[in-house]
Amino acid sequence: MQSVELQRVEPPSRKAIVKASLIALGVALVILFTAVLPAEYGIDPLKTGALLHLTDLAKTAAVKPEAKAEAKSASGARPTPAPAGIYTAQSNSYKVDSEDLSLLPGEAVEIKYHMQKGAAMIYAWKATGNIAFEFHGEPDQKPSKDYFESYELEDQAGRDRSYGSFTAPTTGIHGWFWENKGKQQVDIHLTTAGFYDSAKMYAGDKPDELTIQDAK
Amino acid sequence: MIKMKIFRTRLTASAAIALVLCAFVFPVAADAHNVSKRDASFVQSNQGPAVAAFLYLGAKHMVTGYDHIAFLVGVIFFLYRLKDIVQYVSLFTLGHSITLLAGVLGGIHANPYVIDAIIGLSVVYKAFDNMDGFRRFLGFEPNTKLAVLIFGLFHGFGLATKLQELDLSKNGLIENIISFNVGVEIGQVLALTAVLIALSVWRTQHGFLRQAFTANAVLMTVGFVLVGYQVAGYLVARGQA
Repeated sequence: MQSVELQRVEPPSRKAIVKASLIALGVALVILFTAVLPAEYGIDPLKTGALLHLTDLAKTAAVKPEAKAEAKSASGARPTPAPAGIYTAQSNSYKVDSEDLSLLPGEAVEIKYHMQKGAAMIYAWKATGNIAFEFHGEPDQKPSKDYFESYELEDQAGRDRSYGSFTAPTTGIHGWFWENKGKQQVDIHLTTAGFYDSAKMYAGDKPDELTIQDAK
Repeated sequence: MIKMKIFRTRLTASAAIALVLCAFVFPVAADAHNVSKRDASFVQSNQGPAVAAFLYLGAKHMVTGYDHIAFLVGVIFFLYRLKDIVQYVSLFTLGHSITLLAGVLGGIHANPYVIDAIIGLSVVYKAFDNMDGFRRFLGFEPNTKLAVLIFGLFHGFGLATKLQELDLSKNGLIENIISFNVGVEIGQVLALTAVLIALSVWRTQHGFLRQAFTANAVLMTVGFVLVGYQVAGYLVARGQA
């Protein structure tokens, strides 16, 4: 039956194909510029996104928690539920780690944890003397080989402790570089707990994989 | 091959029903490309083999991945015989399995925007082919089986980049990728079954061939939108870097 129908219908002419293809391209461009680009990327050359409130979609993630919190605090003096952003749900890769390091004068070492963007860690380290350090990170996707981001730097007098909490700004390795610029050995004790997936120590030419524990 | 897969789907009939439901119920699942956040954090925290979970993720990706489905609709649009459908779908499967495995295991990092733009182009290509464009303008139709195989290779790279975004644990990697791949095939069979049922009903209607021309023009529009979406994404990402 279908073969009968096949013979009966004329194959489309070149003109029809060109016309249909151009219409397809045109409609696609209209859809892209009026809807997809405003909604997905906030690109809104024709202002249709703003008109249809599509650009809100592109902004949703960033704006919503703050807007909500503001609305709530403005609503009165009664204690309100905790605004969004007070806690952050995390993956179930909760790990703990502690490291003891000894640095002779002139020696340096790095401990870095691999974390996903947004993953959190709390940390504390204490040293037997002041030591120069830099808390920094290297994203997995970095623009150049030596690229890094500095979070906390004390590279002159140094310090003998630092406590804090940290949320990874990028997916990558984040941690400390310590350098003993003094004349005596310095011992460092580092403890961390957080949602990292691996840890590495950089002391020599190639990094050593550290064994980290699942939190019990 | 199809028979084997259908058998496998029957075995997991309840899983299949859950899958189809998921595709329609969860709005996040409608996003063709990003395995949803919840799934992502599962994958990242997962250590070791998790066959069922990766089967599910693979199938979910395929059932909800409208670019893959759009291409498959184009491929089977004018295939009437089961034998042909099996042949073409097997070629597509072969193509994307090769690059999915090679991409993830070999650590080949393709730019996801470029790959997804090519996948969009594959939809445009197939729609143009279905509109008889190649025969009318080139005087011949480029080997359709070869085209399906080649585009299958690109679709596989697309699947690979999605898995790579998730930072898979090395532990149980091979089991998990194979599970994901098998899941993709299950999802493909599910999606194809739905498409085939719809097409079969449509084919019995009068004027199918005339509507088919329009339908392929619409399919081409979808392809162009996908290309534009990815090209814009590529430019935006480059602007931010």
